[in-house]
This record gives sequence, structure tokens and C-alpha cells, in this order.
Amino acid sequence: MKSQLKTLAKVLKHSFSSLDTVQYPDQQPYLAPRYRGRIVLTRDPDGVERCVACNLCATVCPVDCIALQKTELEDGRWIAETFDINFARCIMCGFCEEACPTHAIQLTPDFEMAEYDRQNLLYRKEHLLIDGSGKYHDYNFYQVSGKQIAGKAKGEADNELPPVDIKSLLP
Amino acid sequence: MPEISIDGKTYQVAAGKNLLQVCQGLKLQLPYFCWHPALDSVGSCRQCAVLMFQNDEDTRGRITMACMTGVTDGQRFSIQANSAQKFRQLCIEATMTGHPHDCPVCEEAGECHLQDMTLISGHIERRFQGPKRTHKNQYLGPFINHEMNRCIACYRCVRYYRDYSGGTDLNVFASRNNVFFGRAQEGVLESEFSGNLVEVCPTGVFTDRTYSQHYSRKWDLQSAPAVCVHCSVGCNIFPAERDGILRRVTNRYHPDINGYFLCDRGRFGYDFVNHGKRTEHAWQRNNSKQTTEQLNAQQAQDSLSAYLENTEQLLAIGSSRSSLENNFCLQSLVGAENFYSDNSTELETQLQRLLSHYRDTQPSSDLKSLETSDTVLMIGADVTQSAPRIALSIRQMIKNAGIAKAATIGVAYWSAAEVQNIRQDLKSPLHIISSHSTRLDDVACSIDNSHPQQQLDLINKICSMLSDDNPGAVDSRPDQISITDKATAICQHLLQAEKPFIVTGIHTGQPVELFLASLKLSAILYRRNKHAGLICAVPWVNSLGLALLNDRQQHFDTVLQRLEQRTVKTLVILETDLYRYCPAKKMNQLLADVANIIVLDHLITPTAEQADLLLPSASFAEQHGSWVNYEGRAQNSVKCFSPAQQRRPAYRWLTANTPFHSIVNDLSGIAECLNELPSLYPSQSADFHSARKTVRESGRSALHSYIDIKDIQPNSDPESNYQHSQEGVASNLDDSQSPAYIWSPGWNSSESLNQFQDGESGAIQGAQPGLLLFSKGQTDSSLVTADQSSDSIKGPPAESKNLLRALPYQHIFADEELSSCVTSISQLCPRDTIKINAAQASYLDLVSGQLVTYSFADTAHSLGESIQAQSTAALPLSIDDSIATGVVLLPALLLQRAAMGDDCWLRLAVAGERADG
Ligand code: SF4
Ligand code: SF4
Ligand code: SF4
Ligand code: SF4
Ligand code: FES
Repeated sequence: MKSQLKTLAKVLKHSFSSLDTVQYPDQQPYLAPRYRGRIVLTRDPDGVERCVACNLCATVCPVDCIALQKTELEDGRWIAETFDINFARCIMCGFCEEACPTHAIQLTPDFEMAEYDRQNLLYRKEHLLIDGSGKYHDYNFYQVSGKQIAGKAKGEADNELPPVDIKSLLP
Repeated sequence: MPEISIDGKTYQVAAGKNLLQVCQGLKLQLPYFCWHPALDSVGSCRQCAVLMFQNDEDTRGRITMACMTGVTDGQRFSIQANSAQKFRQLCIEATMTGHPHDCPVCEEAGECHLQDMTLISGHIERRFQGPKRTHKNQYLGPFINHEMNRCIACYRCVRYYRDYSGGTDLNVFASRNNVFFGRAQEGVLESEFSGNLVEVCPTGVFTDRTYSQHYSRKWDLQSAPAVCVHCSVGCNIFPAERDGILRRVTNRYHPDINGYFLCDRGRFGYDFVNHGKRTEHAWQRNNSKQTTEQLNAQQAQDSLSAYLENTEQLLAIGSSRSSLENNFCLQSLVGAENFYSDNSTELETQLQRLLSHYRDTQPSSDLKSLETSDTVLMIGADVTQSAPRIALSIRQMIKNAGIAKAATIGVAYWSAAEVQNIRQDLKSPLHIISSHSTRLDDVACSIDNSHPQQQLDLINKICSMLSDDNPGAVDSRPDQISITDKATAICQHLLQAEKPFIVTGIHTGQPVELFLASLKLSAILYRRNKHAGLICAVPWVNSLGLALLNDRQQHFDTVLQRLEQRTVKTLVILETDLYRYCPAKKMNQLLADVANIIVLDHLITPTAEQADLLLPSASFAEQHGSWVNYEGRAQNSVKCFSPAQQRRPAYRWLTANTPFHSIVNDLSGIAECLNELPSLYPSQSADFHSARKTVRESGRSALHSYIDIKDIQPNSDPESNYQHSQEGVASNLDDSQSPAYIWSPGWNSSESLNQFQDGESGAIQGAQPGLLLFSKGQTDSSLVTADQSSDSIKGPPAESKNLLRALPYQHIFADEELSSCVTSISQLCPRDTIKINAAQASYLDLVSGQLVTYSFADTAHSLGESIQAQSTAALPLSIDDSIATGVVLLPALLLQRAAMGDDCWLRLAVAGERADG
């Protein structure tokens, strides 16, 4: 009896407290930048595609919904020729972002991806690629990698010595 | 057997090995870089450090390199001891100080021995913050990429390239931690075995350039245990596919054939499978409407049956590059009497003779026994060009004298640097009898480049010296004296040797008599010494298999005759290009008169272009099949991926989908030696399968989403116990059949092979060694072949001083049909030239570079007249002084096309002005 009265009182109290329901979509919730929603491919500070097609995101993906093919640009960069994400499968776990050694692949706070046609849930490279650098502004993979690309010769990356003169036998 | 203890456990181990080998055999996890099972130990990387205890009381022990420590009874070691672990960790940390931040853009990543060893050694965080040393890269040709920053200076590359494969143009430069591994100058690597650098180098310095062009990580590849189809050696390979593209080929260890290494033709020739000129659909020509129509599979099948309804004037040509099953199905379909091989009379005779030699006189030998032999006589074959892997084995044979010498002073064979020091210039003897220089000249003890007649004299001389019952009559003619001297020298070595080997080959343009004499010599030698071996390269991958089926010995020359006589109405051609055996003009004429031409092939060859019905067939990577290699070993090659479009294996077109197993069963019944063939194909089991794909394959639910976002069911393979998916047993957990790929936990690189081997350097567990068709039953004394050899090669049809004997010069990249259409390979094909020696040139008033034409002297040949009359295209002349006088060399393919039979006598004439002034 006592507990029933207690419950009634509690319910009654809620009639006077403020509402939790949000009037979505008229009212948009705040989502932190690290929220795991729609995936994008970003560009490095020079505006060049960051993804080097290393395949780590695809490998770590627990539902195997990323598929890509590596190719090379004239200037020596590795780049994705195709990059497909099947969002009908993606579980927004963010593993790909964690695995990515170049900060290319990033999850964004956008989750409004519903489609009437399932086929439209396949995002290809042109749908994924954005113009900016996303959450990580300064990282430039080729500046730390030893691989030579046009405009960055051997020895010109961060923390590199000039190329060895192989004709020299000096100790 | 010494008994040693490692980390408190006692093991019985083989004597004479080093501790690292022992650990590999026991599958203990001990890191290493510089040691390689085929290159042995030099102890330079310091990665295989273990703790060795002096005696039972010793508790501290001392660090020693496992790869440099021979095992003896009672020793006690520790791999796990803290100090040993710490040592290895520090060692790799030092190695990694200069290592670039490259893994994401490194072709090696995911199968990098350096990555694996770094993890095994427990070095997981970079402490060194100083600057990294860098190196410039070099262009090394179409096969290999060079990225020197990644080098850890293990020296494996130069030890492989120089010491093992005999190359000279790769070396180490500079000093200390600056060492550079590359060429003195940028340029194409010269060795025919350069591709092995990809697997030998434990890092991403040397990587497969062709693979990089359609790259995929190792874990995404679908592979299967297959057999190389680019020559008669039959090396074991793993073709690897993703998404319908054959991405690369890697070595599949077979202890008796290829061991750890392939040749470049085999490694890089795979790209024909992805060629733009692959056949995709069935086409039928409609002559009345002058159109070509695409058929669906059923229509194509019906159309084939319709064509073959009338067996009158039916003729079918089998293929030396197609599997036993495919040829057999064609033979059964058209009847043996209508089935012909794609070999000329001469080739067919030689192949049949070789078969009967194996059957009756002397068993065949494998490359492992060639490697352990101690004297080789190579006759009339430049095996580096025709069956390259054989040459690599001969190069190992050369070292045996040095290894034996080292053994006499107590140095173990695996101590590579010491053995090399003791060996110096000591070589096991290799004698070469040829008409021109070969790629093995640099290690030969004697080279006799002479006219085929003189070669024959020399061989006959050796034969008579070797056969006790027939001591050679003393001949005092001056040319005979020099021959006697040469023969004596060779004989001495052959007789002294414990295990002498004859290496020869069958190829177009070679005088048959010379081949028969080599067989006779081998037989005589074998009669004296049961360890004597014979290695005989045959033209193509399944030449011997086709010869086995073709016991009626129906050859291509008869086909030409029948075409000429217009007695062929329906012609079925299986996976062979007739335009390789006959000049194009002539072939066009001949085919024009055939009413129905049916071609099954995987490439659109000039022959396929003539087809009335073209059926697209599967390549070796897309079908199951058995191939018989040069030694008469039938090996099964497992299908790697499902053929796309309308492609299907020729055996399926030809039998309208008879199950593969029943084809093999029927095939096994046709000859006694094939009776056990079905044992190569384990019976189907409903509940056991192994996976062709790795557990970590990526992108399964996205790869084909662009076609349809709904998942596509993986293809099934009802013909074997392998699945086209990840379902089934992973390769590292299954030792009941050949693994589909080499990977095991912690060992991602090709070095993980040691986790699959049966003991150190043993065969892969569960792998099929193949079926030796002629391993027993040789009736020792019947020297069948001996009777049929002759004293002189066929002379020129008319005595004329300007007639030269034409012989082929072979080239590893130019001769084989499938590989030569691959871009990276065709780049390295030499320009076609006509070659003679300088004296001959000045006698004929010709100079180097001049354009010359040639015409054949033979008019006796049935087809002769019409062909010989036509003038041949002019080729530039090049001078090569190693060529014997009286001999002219033509590119092998050209000779095969132009020459009729082995009457290759020709006349040279100036075509016009000097080429390129
Ligand atoms: S992990 Fe990053 S760099 Fe690698 S393929 Fe994925 S997005 Fe590209
Ligand atoms: S060699 Fe190995 S460790 Fe070095 S960059 Fe390549 S994958 Fe990474
Ligand atoms: S290039 Fe490769 S094989 Fe050669 S020393 Fe360097 S790491 Fe070793
Ligand atoms: S030697 Fe012959 S079988 Fe071996 S890899 Fe080379 S081409 Fe293939
Ligand atoms: S493997 Fe023993 S020192 Fe390199």
C-alpha cells in the first residue's frame, strides 16, 4: 500500500517536470565532433587526397563494408582508384578511423543517411571525399613518410638526413 | 642423433645442422633475418641470438647466434631467457632507427618479415628521435621496384643474387650503416632469376613491380596450389587473385623441383591471364550473312555438337600448353585417329624417344638430385633460356666441390661465408657442348662450341670411350685428335663423378641425331653408374603429357599435309596457335580451304581470329588440370578462381560438363603409367573443405556493391575440396591437402613457410609431390635408344659452300607463347637478328648491322617448294664470335615458323643498305 502511494506520487511529480523529448528534426540535438556518423575522406593541408589506399580501414572493418583499389599518381603518391563504403552494412564503429595511418577516413556527426533505395547506400569515392582536412588539420603523411613524391625528394621529409653518397667510403 | 635442451625441453635433433635450422624444424619461434634456408648462415644480422650454457652448472649462459652454432650432443640453450630477449629487442631497435614511416605505402606491408620479427622481438615503441638516413632509388627494370630507405642491411639480396643465382650486376656499395644495395648504374637487372629478390628481401626494398600495378594486400588474395605453365620444369606456384584479376604469382615450395625459387618468366608471365586479348564469349561466324554472332553457353555447346556430328574429314589438334585432361577430352571426342599433336615430326620423334627412354632405360631425375650431383655435361641446350629453373640448379651443383672440400676440414655446409672462402675458384665440373655461347658459360669448366656434326662426333667419341665393350678405334686424323683430347677430359670427369648428370633438351631446329646421341650417352653412363642422371628439357609445359596421349605419334606435319591436300573439312584446335608453326601467308591459304574451324583458347590468337566457332576457355588459374613435366611427373594444378564471362575449362566445353573426377578416372585407364592419376585428386568430401581466401579478407560486403548492394553468393567449386571463400579450414590448420596459401599466426610473410614444412627444409605438409609416371620398371640392359643413334647429322640437300646450318637461339622471354604477350616481359625481348661469327661474315662479305635475307635450301620437303620459294623478311645481322663456323642462328620462334623439318640449311643474302647507317 505504501509503495503504491509512493509510485503514484512519483508519476504525479513528472507531470510538472520539463520535457525530455526533442522535437527532431525541427530541433537538432548537439552532437560532439567525435560523434560517429557518416564517414568522409579528407584532404591533407595541401588539399591533396589523404587516403593512400593502404587498406587498413577495410581490413579492420568488422562488417567488411569498405572496399578499395590502390593505384599510383604520376607524382608517385599512392591513392585510391576506387573507394566504396556500403552504408547498408556499416555499423559506425569507428574502427576504420582508428586504423587509418593518414587521418584520411573520419566519422562525422551526420547520421541522416536514410534512403528509399538501398542501392543509394553505397557511397563511392566521389560521395565520400570532402574538401577539408576534417578533425585533424595539420597531419600530412607524405611529410613524415620516406617515400619520394614530386616536390619532396629523398631527404626532404621531416627528420631526414640528405641521401647517402654511396661513392663515399668515409667512416 | 644429438640430444639438446632448449628452454628446459629436451629434443632429439639431426646432426650436422645449426641451431636455427633445428629451431625451424621444431617450429620454435626464433627471429632471424640474414639466414635463409637456401642461402645458409653468415651471422650478420644478430637477430637469432639465444643463450647458450656452458654446462649444467652454468646459470648465466652467454649470448650466441643460433644460425652460427652447430648442434652437438648435450648442449643447453634458452630462447626465452630475459637477456636473450632483451638482446634481440635492442638489436631490432637499432635496426629500425633509420627505418622510414612507410608501411601504409609499402607493398611489403602485411607480409613483411621485418614487421613480423619486430613484433616477435617485442620492439613496439620507437624511442630514437634522431634523423633518419635516406637513399636514392634506382630503376631496375619492369619487374622489380626499388625503395632503398627500407633496407636493414641483412645482405640477403646480394648473397642470393650473386652467390646463389650467379648474377653480377647487383652489389653492395658504401660502408657502415650507409650501405646501399643496387646496381652500379640504373638499369634492368640482368639475371633471369631477379624476381626472387622480392621474396628473398625480408623488407620492402625489392618488391614486385607488376603486382604493384594491380596491388592488393596479401590477406585479400585468393590463392590455390598450382603449377607454372611457362616451361617444362613445372615449378610449383601460388597464383593469387582478387576480384577477377590475377594479381601475382609467388613460389610454392617443392623440395624436388623449384625449392625456394622461380624464374622471371614463371613469376611475371602470369599477366596473360589479365590480357586485353582474352577470349570472353563464344562467337560464331555466319559466312552467308558475313557476320559474327555472340552465342550463349547453350547455343555454343549445341553448335559445337552440330559441327562435330559429321566425323568425316575431321581433324583435331591438341596442345602442348594445355592440360592432360583437356587434351584427353578432345582426343576422346574426335577419336584417336583424328587427333594430332602440335609438334613437328622431329619434335614428336624426340619426345616419343624420350618417353621410351624413361620407360625402358633410365628413370628421370629431379632438380634436387641435379643440385646434389657433382659433374654435369650439358649438350645442345641453353637451359637458362628454355627451362630456366634447371640452370639455377646447375649453378648450385657447381658449388659442391667447395662444400666437399670444406667438409674435409670440418666446416659445415651451412656456414656460407666460410665455405665460400675455402672454395675460392674451385668448381664442380660443368662441360658444355653447344654451337654457341650459353648463359652458363661463366661457370663452365670446358665449353665446346662447334658445328653440330663435330658435336655429334664428340658425343659419339665419349660414348665409345665410356662403353667398355666398344673401345673407340684410334683415329689419327688431326681433327679427330682434338676431339679425342676433349672427349678424354670429359670422360675423366664423368667417370670420377659419384653422380654425373647429362643435361640436354628437345627443341625445334635441333638436329635429332644430336639428341639421340645424348640419350645414348646417358644410357651408357647409367649402365656404368646407377647414380647417373638425365635431365632433358622439353619444349613446353605439357609436351610430354601430350606425347603420352598421342601414342599414335600423329604430328603436325601430317596436319599440314592434309590441309594442303584439302582433306580436312572440320578442324578443331585446342589452345594452340598454328601461326607459330607455319608462315602466316601459308597458314592463311591452308585455313581458307577448311569449311569449319573450331577454336578453343583463352587468348585471341591469329588462329582464333580464323575461327568459325570460338569457344572461350579458362586459363591455368581458372581450371583444375594435370600437367606432365620434363621428368614425367604428373602434377595437379588447382583452380585459383572461377572464370568470368562465358569462359570455362576446355574439358567442360568438350564433354558438355562431365564431372572432372570422371574425366580423370577415364584418363587413368588409357595407359598403365596413368593408373594412379586419380590419387592426385582426393575424393570429394561433403563436410571438409579448405578455404582459398584468408580469414582476414576485407571488403566482402562492399566489393561488388556497385553491381548490386545485396551480397553475392561466393561461387562454389564442386570439383575439389577447396572453397572460393573464407569458409572451410584455414591453410595453417589443415595438413591433409596442399595449403591454398602460406600464412600462419605471427608469420605473415612468405617465411611462414617454415611453419608448414615437415621438419627443416622438408616438403609442405599435406602437399602433393606429384606422380612420377616412370619411376620404376626400367629394364636395365636394353639400351633401346643406343641402337637408333647415328654417326652423322643429315647434311645439306645440295653441296654448296654457302649453305649454313640454321640453329635456333632461344630466349627466356621471347619464346614461350603465353608469357611473351605480357607487357613487362615483351619489353625485355631482344630484337630479332641473324647471328653468325665474324670469320663467317667476312667470308660471306657481310657486316654487322647489315640487313640480310635468308632462304632455305631444302626443296625436297613435301611442302618445301611453295614456302622456300618465297623470300623471307630481312633481319639485321649481328656478329657473335662464340658461334661455330658453318652455323647461323635465327630466333627460335622464327625458325620454328619458317623451317620445315630439321633440314635447316639456308643461304644468306644482302637485303639492301646497312640498317641504321
Ligand atoms: S586506412 Fe586511411 S589511408 Fe588507409 S585505405 Fe583506409 S582511408 Fe585510406
Ligand atoms: S619494409 Fe616492412 S616495416 Fe618497412 S615500411 Fe615496408 S612493410 Fe613497413
Ligand atoms: S635490400 Fe633487402 S635483402 Fe638486401 S640487404 Fe636490404 S633488406 Fe636485406
Ligand atoms: S623454370 Fe619454368 S616452370 Fe619454373 S618458374 Fe620458370 S618458366 Fe615456370
Ligand atoms: S639469422 Fe642469425 S645472425 Fe642473422
